[in-house]
Amino acid sequence: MESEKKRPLSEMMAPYALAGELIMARVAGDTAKFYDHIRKAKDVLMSPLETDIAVTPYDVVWEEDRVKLKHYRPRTEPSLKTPLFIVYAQVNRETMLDLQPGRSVVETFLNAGLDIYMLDWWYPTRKDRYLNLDDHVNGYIDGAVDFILEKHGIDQLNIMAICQGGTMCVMYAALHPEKVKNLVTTVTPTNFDHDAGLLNVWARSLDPDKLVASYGNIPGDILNLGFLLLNPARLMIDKYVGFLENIDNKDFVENFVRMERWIFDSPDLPGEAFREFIQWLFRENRLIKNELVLGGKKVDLKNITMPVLNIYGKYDHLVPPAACDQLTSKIGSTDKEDLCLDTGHIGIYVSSKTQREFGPKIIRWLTERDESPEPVNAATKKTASKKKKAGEAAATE
Amino acid sequence: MSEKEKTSNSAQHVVFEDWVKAQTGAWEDSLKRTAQVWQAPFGTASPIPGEPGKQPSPDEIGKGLFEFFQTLSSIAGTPKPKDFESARSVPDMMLKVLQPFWGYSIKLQQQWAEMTGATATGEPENMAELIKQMTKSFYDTQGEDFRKFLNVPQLGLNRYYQERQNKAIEKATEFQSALTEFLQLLMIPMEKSYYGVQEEIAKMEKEGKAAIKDSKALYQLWIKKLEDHYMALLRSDDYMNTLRETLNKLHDFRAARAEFFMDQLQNLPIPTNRDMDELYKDLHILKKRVKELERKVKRNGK
Repeated sequence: MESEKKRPLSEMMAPYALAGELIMARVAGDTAKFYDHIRKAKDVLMSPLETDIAVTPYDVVWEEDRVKLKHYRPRTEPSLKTPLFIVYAQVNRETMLDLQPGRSVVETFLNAGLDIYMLDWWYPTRKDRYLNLDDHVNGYIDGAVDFILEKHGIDQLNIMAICQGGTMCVMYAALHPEKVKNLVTTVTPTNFDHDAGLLNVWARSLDPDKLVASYGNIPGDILNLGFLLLNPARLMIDKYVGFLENIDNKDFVENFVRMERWIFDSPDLPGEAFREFIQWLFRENRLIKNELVLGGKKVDLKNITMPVLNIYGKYDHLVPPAACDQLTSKIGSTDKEDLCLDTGHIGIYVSSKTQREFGPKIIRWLTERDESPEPVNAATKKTASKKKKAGEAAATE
Repeated sequence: MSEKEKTSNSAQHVVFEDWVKAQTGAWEDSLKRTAQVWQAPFGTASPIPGEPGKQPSPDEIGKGLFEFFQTLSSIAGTPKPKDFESARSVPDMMLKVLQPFWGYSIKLQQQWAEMTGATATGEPENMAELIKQMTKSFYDTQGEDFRKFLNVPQLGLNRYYQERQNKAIEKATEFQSALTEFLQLLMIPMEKSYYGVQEEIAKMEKEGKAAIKDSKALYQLWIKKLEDHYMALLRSDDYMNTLRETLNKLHDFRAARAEFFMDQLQNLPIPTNRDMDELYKDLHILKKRVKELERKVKRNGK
């Protein structure tokens, strides 16, 4: 009887054997095709591959400490009077916006005649561990804004911000509204009191003090590991099974490698800024509650009175709609719009479908507001209907 | 059945009974074969089983010797010539040389099996559970003894250095324990997805639906199950607590290790992180003050 109860080791290993067999079976297909597949894969992998990212030419026009300001070389006469200042997150790099020709937000903007500046946070070293949110918002972002304003001899510029960079730009716009003509936030978390994404659940239970004490700056590899663990089945297995299946397709391999290069190019996060971000935002949700204080000044969202376009992804598992869709109801602007796209966190910038929608929408929206000294009131109505649509979409999801 | 007898069916015995048996068998075979090989040059070797009267060939002798020394050196390093002096015959010598190692090895295996068996609970159903029981038992029992040893009060001039060294070792062990438990948790969805696929197929058969013959469809079914099980796990309190515990232990280990390394670096002309962090903090404060002053000057200039 007892031997029946005891499960042999070989049986316990069965789940892992099955996983291996299924992956192999999926990749291999039938034998004849498999050999052909391998032969072609060898040819592809041994051939010269175009995997460079961020190839659009630019000049570094301003630097402070490690932070640089890129100015993209215009391709046409400027179509807008107001330059666009882009602020990416510190998690991963801004090269996402210029992944490859034909899949580049930067390229789309340049072709439309926008004058683009982009902040490059570069790679923090241990020296940067004491830099806090105030240093980033009132220091680096403000420094770059002042440089652009001075260079162009203007009082205001447009800001487009991404993810965590967007959160910092919302703070910036609330603290320096006089310098921001229009604000475009994309996949920007501003509300952290929800359980829609795993990241939120995890971040709230972390002890940021211990992490910062241990590491100084938070290593990019640890963050990446955290992101992979958000969906290990897809991100650590299925994704690479897909790669093996298409390894004989040169275009696919090039695109895949480009994306891999971007994903794992992860600068560390300055320790103190990380600690404040986790504690003040993820744990205490101070920003949306108007309780955040930076550099001795309250970050009051009602001070954001410039036009705001708030774009987010319906299927974003990192910054879900619940993290984004409260902003417009808390700010002082009358000209504001929420736009929820049928895509995810990264797809919003790189998927072919979104490329046709995302970039052109921002260009249109900025163009409509470029000449106008006052907010475009017509857009308020549009905002309401869009907002309703987004809300309905989220509800039916 | 007594409690002790019940625990003999636990996780560790699944592995260790087989393992000890295999080890013992392998050693016995190896000894027999090697003894035969050693005796051959003196014409005293037993005949090869199944082939009466036949002595091992020179090739077999060479192979046997090679295997013997390979096995021996792998556990005890190469024996010195004087170790062999008192051996009156080659087989005796081999047994003399091997006995302590073999005996110790078997004793260790028994201790391990007893130790882990004594604290394990229930029959392991899967690899994740098996690993959990084994590692938990090890760290709970052996780890406790080890901890006591590491915490023996240190004396004299070097006491603080020794304490920090011991603390680093203790924290490394605790972190390893926590990490193993965390990794074990990540194995669970792999196993659940396997049984999920089995259940799904059985259900389809029961309902008279056509079985999945396409490996791609089967893969899709499995990866979906795997994803679902991971999603459930990653949101669970168990996962959150284990993750938190692992990160806390990682922090404790890194802090203890840093202190230990700082002691070592003090003897070298290399600044420690503590030295550099103080400098960086001063630099950070000074930069802020300079920027503020620059702003004030600019404002006054306007």
